Amino acid sequence: MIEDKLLIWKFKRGSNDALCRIYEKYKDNLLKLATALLNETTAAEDVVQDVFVSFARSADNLRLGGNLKSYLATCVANRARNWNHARRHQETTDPNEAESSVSNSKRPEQWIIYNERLKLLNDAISQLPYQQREAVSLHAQGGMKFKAIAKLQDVSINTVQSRYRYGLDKLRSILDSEAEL
Amino acid sequence: MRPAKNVEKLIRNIDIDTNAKTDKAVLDDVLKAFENSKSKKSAKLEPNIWRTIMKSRITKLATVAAVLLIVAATVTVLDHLAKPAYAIEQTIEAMKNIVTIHFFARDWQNRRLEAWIKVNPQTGENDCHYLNEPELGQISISTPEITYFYHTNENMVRIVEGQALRSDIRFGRYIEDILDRVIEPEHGEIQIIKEHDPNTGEEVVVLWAESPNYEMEAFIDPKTKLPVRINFAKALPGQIIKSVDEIYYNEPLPEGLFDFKIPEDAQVIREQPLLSVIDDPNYGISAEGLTKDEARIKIIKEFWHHVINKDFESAHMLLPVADVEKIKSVIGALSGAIELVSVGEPFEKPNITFGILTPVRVRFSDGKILELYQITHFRRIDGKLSCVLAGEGQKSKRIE
Repeated sequence: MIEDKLLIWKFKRGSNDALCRIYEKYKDNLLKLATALLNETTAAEDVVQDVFVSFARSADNLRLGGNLKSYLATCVANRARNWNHARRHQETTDPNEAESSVSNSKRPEQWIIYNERLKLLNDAISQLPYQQREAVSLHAQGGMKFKAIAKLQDVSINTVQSRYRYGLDKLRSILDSEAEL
Repeated sequence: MRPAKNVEKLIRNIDIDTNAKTDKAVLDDVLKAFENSKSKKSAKLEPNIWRTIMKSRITKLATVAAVLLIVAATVTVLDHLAKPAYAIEQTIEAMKNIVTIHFFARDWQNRRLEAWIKVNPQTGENDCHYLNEPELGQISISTPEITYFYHTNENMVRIVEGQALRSDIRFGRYIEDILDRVIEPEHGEIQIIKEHDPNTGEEVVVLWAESPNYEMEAFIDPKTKLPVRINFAKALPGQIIKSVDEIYYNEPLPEGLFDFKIPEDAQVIREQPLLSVIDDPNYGISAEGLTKDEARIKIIKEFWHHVINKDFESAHMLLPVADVEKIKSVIGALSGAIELVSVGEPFEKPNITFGILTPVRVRFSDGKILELYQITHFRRIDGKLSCVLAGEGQKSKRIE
């Protein structure tokens, strides 16, 4: 955690090196989190890229209450929610609207190189109700505390813990049944 | 392991691979956004011709000739807009309120380093140090109780009891100590110049201090009266810092900054503290059958014989407080010692209780002669008298 505090300190004072280190340190984890929440590779890549770009612009105003990992995970979760919301809205109204809620940035090639295990896991996570998916992904992948997830989901800690437990149980049974096939 | 834990572990540990080309492209995009946000911020600063004029040191000298004063005098400079005058005493006074110093600096090889100092506000002494030298691969943490040197590339931790990172100059009284201990005794000069910091565009006072062996340029914030940057053209012996690029005062110390956790797989070496090292019988020479004066001269002559012949291992056996690398880099690098010119009369200093000082003059390959003050420590081990060199007792000076 000391390293993160120092990185933030340097980043806020304009250090490119610090920003590069933050990017290298957390990009993989955030991509895993985003793919788990969205189960859609391009959207997950857009969300993570947007989170980093927006983070880079925020140096002057950034006020971190908790830790950096949790902060970035929350940013991904919020953007993933927006994206899901836009997608649901798109399904009922304008088919182009979902695209407007995510990055317009262009990447030369696909960012995530999918492997079978990751695909299997994300497919299983995508079968969870969204609130459970969020609780499982943010706690297990994003390293967020139940208290922070409760704040994000605007529910009690007990509710988040239940969602997490139910989510894990369901995930296990999905993965077990797939293993039997 | 419970099944739920298995799933948790799977989620936590699953690997993700990314395309390196895309990684770089996204990072470039992120850095571009960062640079844009920085340039918007700096665009608010107006360019100032004053700095351009003041860049040349000759111009600086001409411009401030009227305020050239020696250190003993009160030095002030009046702002052209008739703002309150600046006096060095204001900086000395302001520094007495410092409890932490956080700075980013460069060493003489232009390598970046970062340091945190916890200052005792009553005495100005450096209570605890955190020094990170990433390009050298070393993190040093020193408290009054213990010092850790973590060599990151070798994954090795050296542990020394007590405060092994020390400085003769108190960081919390830096300007005061430099003026009192360096500039004034050497009849040096100081100047005060007003200009605008090229990095921030803000007005700063530049305090320039020079003596035969030391030259410093400190940028003082006129509001806080505290130094915000310092450059050195000539430094104190053993000083690793060439420039302090950013200084921040009284920042809250990051939690656990001085609580070093030894990495589980690191090699750990416990080293003896100074007073144990200089009492280690494996180092030094026997003084049996010699007077103390003869032993003192003998060990100094032997030490310089080894240094001149670049036998740093043997030199280290006589000066154990500096390891071989330190002797090579500090003493061996002084443009090459070629001759021990003289060994002077010993004397004592009240604050050095473990040895006597000897002025030693050494000629270097460029013809210059330096006078150093080496400490000789005598000890009686198993009834036998021996001695060892224990570092330098005061700042060395150039004779010619």
